[in-house]
Amino acid sequence: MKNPSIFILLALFLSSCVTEVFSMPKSWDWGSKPRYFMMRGLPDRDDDYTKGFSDGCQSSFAMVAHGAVRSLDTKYDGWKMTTNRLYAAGFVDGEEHCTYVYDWDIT
Amino acid sequence: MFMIGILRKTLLILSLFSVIGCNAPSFYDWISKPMLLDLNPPPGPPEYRAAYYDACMTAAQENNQNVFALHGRAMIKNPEFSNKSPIYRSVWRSAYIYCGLWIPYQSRNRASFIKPDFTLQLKSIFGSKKHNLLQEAPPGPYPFRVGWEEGCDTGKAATGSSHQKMPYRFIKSAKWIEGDRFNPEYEKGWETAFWWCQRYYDIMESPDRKGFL
Repeated sequence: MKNPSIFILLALFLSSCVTEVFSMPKSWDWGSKPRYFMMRGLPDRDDDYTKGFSDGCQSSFAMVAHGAVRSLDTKYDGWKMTTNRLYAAGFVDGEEHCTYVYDWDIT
Repeated sequence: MFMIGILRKTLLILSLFSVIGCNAPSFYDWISKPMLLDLNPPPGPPEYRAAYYDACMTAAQENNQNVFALHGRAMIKNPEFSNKSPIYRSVWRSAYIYCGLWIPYQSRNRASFIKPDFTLQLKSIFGSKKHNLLQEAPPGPYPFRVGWEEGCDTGKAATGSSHQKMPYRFIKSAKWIEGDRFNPEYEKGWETAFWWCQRYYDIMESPDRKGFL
């Protein structure tokens, strides 16, 4: 406690990371659902690919994650996956990416 | 009396070996694969059956715990079928992944033959959404749903414990072949469910993971 400025600087530094660490892309409409941290560079557009990516990612977390993140619901919809190629491609990409981001050791 | 006992045991062992031997076309195949892995392909056209056997033997020979397998023929692909038939390529890929998972996971889960597991697996209880996906397909067109069920059964056999390996096996019905390839809706359901279900059992049966679920 001799030099509180160090703690202030550290707090400022960490607070600048909060958005980066805790947020999900806006178009995913994730709300208050449990999330995995440090997800960056994810697709964030208002299109079918992004919607599929988000659903695939959520489904994979429901499968491979621990704790609260595992309580997410799966989002499998055979109608969308067989009729909408962009959605289907996004779903597979999201499922794979989020699985290996969480646990690279899984098959 | 003692001799009769030995004779009975010998006959039992011989009959067991002969029954197990039925699941491989040749003696070499039999010694270079796990005993319970069935190399007899499911019913289907010649390229379908060839693909299953070629892929499974390729995967079996990558098993570094079997000295016979390691000195085998390595990659097995029929060049004619592989160049011309999408069915051959599709089944080869599916069977290669299936057998490539089946073999190491059989070793990992071997203890489940004798070790009962009383862990309460909360995410697989009846009525939960995830448990339901193991038993029936999510909403979608009929071929997708059939593909889901068959892909999931194959996934259970691939990474599940002996409880799953005994009743389930590779299934990708040849009746869904349309022209020179599988029905796309069926194939989509099969692929999606195979990965979902094999990962489910991979995690559920993993000694490192299931305690944290």
